[in-house]
Amino acid sequence: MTTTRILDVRVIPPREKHPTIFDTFNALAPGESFVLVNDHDPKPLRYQFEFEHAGEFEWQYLEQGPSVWRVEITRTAK
Amino acid sequence: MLLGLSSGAAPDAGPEELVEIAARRGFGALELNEGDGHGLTPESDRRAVLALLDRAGSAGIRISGYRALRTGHDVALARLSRTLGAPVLLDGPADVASRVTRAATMAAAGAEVAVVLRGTVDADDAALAGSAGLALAWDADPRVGALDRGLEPLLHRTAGTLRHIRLLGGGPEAALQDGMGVGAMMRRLAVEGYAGTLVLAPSTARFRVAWRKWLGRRGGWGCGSGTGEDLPMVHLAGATSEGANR
Repeated sequence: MTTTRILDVRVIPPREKHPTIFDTFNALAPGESFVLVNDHDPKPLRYQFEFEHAGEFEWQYLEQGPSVWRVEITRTAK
Repeated sequence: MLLGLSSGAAPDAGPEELVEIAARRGFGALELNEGDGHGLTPESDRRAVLALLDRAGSAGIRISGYRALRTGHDVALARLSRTLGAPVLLDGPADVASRVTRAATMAAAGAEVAVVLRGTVDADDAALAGSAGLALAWDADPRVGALDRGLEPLLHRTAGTLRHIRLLGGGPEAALQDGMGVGAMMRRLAVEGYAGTLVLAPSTARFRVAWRKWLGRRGGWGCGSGTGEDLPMVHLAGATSEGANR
């Protein structure tokens, strides 16, 4: 059975959001993924991923608003 | 994991408004507290229960549980659970062992039941509830200790029976909960693949005006509340537990 990992950051204090997201990403093995849930389009986060983890992740929107955004982030390499 | 809202965040909202504000904020589930404005009681007419279910379902919202606070109406609660297709969240003044016994009796009658554990969970309590094969609900209170540590016995001594978490805070209180373990708890739940619900509720009644604004509700809270002034966003350390479990 495949476990779906969901990280809903809407409840997380603002300063802890990005560290929590990257901690979750760092806990993944290659091929594993989690679904990030947010209340706005996390574009700045994507830029940070591209800067810090270039070539190590895939980013796929599952839902794009208007009240909820869901992005599947997959670890492709370590 | 599915994020939801407790009716305790809008305790005077009728069923229609409750569903509307949950949908507007993008919540996928609702926890119904006994005694709140949604009007459902264990003795509610089946048609009233189905009407609320239908309204929520139309908005894409699931009922994640009915929080029972009184004792002595277990047969009606079991019937309500079956109609709702959602667990009774068995809370109340009794100790955990008494709640487990009561829950086991209700489960034997065909009800879906989750025993509520609060705050810093004693490992033996977690093991007791887990060994009875009952589902568990946890009131995660950031004020009583780091949440990720509080989560440990629930994840490791209960054989995956944790189904419902009520976070006392989040929403308009999130910014005040920096460093209280909310992020670490959410990370842990994600990595573990937690598949239950997590609902938000005000940590104390002092934040209800802030919640009202955050939820985009109109109107005031009665006499003196129409001044447009919000309650101060006090530090949580100074908050009382008044209303925390509603």
